Amino acid sequence: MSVKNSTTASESALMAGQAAQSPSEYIQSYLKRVTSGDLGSLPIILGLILIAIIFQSQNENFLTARNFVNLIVQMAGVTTIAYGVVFVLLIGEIDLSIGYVSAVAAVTMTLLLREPGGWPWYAALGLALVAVALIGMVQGLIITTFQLPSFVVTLAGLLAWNGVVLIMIGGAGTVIIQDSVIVGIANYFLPAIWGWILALVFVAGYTLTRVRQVIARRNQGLSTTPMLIVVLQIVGLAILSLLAVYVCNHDRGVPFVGIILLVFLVGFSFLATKTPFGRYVYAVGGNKEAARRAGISVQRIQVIVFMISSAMAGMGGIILASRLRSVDTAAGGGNLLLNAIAAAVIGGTSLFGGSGRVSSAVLGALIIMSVENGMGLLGLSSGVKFVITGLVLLLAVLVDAISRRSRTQSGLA
Amino acid sequence: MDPLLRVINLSKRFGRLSVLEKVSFEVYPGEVVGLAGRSGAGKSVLAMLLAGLHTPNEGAVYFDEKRLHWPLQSRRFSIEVIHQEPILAENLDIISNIFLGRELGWPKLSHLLKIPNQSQMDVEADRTLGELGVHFPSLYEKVSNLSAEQRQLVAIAQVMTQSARLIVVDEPTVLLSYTYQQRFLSLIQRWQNEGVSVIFSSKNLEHLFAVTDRIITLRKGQIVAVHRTDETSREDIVAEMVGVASPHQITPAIWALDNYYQARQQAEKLRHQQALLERSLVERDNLNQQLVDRLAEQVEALDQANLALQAAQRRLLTEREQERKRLARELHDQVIQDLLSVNYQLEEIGSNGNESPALTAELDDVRISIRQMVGDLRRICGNLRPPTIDSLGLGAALQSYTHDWCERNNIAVSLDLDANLGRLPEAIELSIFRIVQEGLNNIRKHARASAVEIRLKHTSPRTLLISVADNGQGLKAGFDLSALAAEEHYGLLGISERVALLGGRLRLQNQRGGGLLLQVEIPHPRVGVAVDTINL
Repeated sequence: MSVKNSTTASESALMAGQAAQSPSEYIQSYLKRVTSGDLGSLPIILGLILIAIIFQSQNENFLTARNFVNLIVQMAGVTTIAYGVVFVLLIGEIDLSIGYVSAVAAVTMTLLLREPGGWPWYAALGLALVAVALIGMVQGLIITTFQLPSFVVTLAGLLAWNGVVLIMIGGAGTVIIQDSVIVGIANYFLPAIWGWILALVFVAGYTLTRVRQVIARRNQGLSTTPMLIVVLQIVGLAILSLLAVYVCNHDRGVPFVGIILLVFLVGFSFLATKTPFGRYVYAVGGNKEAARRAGISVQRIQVIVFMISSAMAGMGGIILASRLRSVDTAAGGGNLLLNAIAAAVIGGTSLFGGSGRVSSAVLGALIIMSVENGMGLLGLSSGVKFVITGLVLLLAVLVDAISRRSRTQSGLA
Repeated sequence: MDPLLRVINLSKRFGRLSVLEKVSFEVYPGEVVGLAGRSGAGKSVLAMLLAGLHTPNEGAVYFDEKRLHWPLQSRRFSIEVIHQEPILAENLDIISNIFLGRELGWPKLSHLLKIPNQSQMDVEADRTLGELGVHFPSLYEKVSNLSAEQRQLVAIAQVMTQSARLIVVDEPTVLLSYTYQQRFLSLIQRWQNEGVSVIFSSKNLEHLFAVTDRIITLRKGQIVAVHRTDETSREDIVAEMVGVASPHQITPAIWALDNYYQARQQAEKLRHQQALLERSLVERDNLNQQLVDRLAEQVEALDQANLALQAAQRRLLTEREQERKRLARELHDQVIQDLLSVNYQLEEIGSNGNESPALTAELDDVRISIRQMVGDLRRICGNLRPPTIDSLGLGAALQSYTHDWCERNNIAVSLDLDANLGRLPEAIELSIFRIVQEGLNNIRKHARASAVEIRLKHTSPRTLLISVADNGQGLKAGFDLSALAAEEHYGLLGISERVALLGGRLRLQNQRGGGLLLQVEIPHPRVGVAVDTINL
């Protein structure tokens, strides 16, 4: 039984070209995506503009160079933790232990640095991160081996690691960090010239990778983003980063933590979108069985993700400790955990797994921290602050839910 | 040859429900083994066990002499499974799904961190899907946005990109349309030729018989029979599937099962052919339509040419009449008047009385001949343009003309005019006059007749019948109107042309008592209504 390759009408309808799009087609398809409910990061950017307008009209200190630099330093800890949260949410799990795990890292490092006989900063920092990564591995192994809900296991972790922090600090109450490198993480500002150099290097690197990618695809005869759009994107990015450096240089300069945030953003975005690991993370979050059948070791992916989550929490804890130049028994408490998870969710990462981006951690944290920062400038009470932060979270989830509904209606779930 | 897959006493129970009971069979390299059975016979469970979705309760499976252990990662053993419902990562795009778990790229060492070569995957995926005959608008479309058939095709493409040694296929054709079903069957044959073993389970016996080497029949989780495909028949398989001891006992109801699938298959095939037929019909229709259109164009062009010709002829006749009218008027107003005044002068000269009688007689001769010339010229004028027709109408013109003609030729003419002939449009009156004129001319030249009878009658308020009958020798046998032109007889031809231009009919026939009857029937509009539209 053999069949000739006769194409039917329905097939030829599928044979739409895959050639390069023209800029107008690209913009049209983008508009179509937006109107059919695939908003991307549009609501967040609009939200940020709205926040800026509201707070600037209430307090003229909001849109100043000083406050901009402050905002970057303030959001650094939460954003770093939120990077890890994005990965956990992507595989459809949750990690409630990150708040106190971050404290465990901070306390471990601080105690190791304590004079006399303190470790060098890199050893202390390295060991602290390895320790929390191991914590993540243990929690991940427990969750995957015994098929327990991650919610419960990490809730147990939340309580246990809080206890561990209290035990480690003991009666000391507050431990001061004296190592200048560690303190510098959150308190060092780059000289103006280095800010400019970094911005230029960043833009140049982005340009190089984008253009190479487009040319490579064009040579293969595959569909590409139109050159005009690519150029516009590059120009836009250049203007934004140079503007940011310009504003920072008007105050104390580009904060070092800002560079750390950027490095993590680029690195994790690459990991999530370009490597097989990232793809497996999405696959596990989308359909565990499909991933397993594809030969992916689901357990390994899950454990690695929990390790990333804990390690990033540890890194965030160290940044927070560096900013305060000390750790105390309240480290990792308060609303740190919920702010980190809220940042990822507000940024657009689904709680049900399989969809979201690393950049959503930055955008979400930017929203939360600018609201908090603005309310701080207005001198509101913490009760009002919590209520408003809660409402912002609710709003973000509502926008996502409504756009998702219109997406299912237009067949683009 | 050693078997590639050996299944020994495999059993699977869900709670107390036993879905697979001590199943044992082998699959050899390059062999296509069919699994037949009704729904619930255990075909899908077997596929799920081999895919590692479920763990068997008892039994052992050896693949290439290595025992398989559950939880089973079947892809590690180059075992691929295509399920009835494709299992895909819904949130990833088509390419990511096709290459999930074996992304192309570098470095080879650390798979998790390698940088995938997206372009290479694009090209490869496009080629693989092309082999299946599928073309997606974008390979970056999320799988969740695809139809069930498209998702199944993605799942098949996923398997095609693997270098599998055993492919377990569980009812994939349910989601596929006829064309893709056929392609999938040829794909199975290709796998077989490449030395890949296939376990193909299907409720559709036609498919099983098309591609398998052996058929294993399952019933209620047990193997009831194993046949070589070319040594068995559908009847046997159906009997075993439903569990009847002998094929003779197969009741119509049981046959319905097989017939149902055959009928569905046939319906699919028919639908496919119908689609093809409709397409070719549409094409042929298009062609016909084009031909008809072109024909219509040509006919229209021809019509227009005809109309133009008629118009030209009409103009020609009109011009000729005008010319004649002008000529007649000039002859009458100039030449005749001049001649008459010359005559008058001659008379003056003659009446002076001082001339010689010889000269007077000569002058009288000249005056007589001038008077004759004037008479001739008047007749010519009358022929050119009946002088009465403009002022008194057709009837008067005909009467005066026939009277003249009768005297000149010594042929008796009786004229019978319709009492309410009235006035007709100028063009028609003139045409009728000319027709009668030509008719009488003919009679004078050829007929050798002694009497002519002319009639002008309304046969209806809108048609006029003109008949000219003589008692002459009539038409010769074998008379042909169209041959007249060749013999340079334009009289009758002129009549027929005028009649045609007026939309009338001409009839020529010999009368019973000898002689020719010329009959012309002409429709005419009411005077004053359509005078302007006829322009002869």
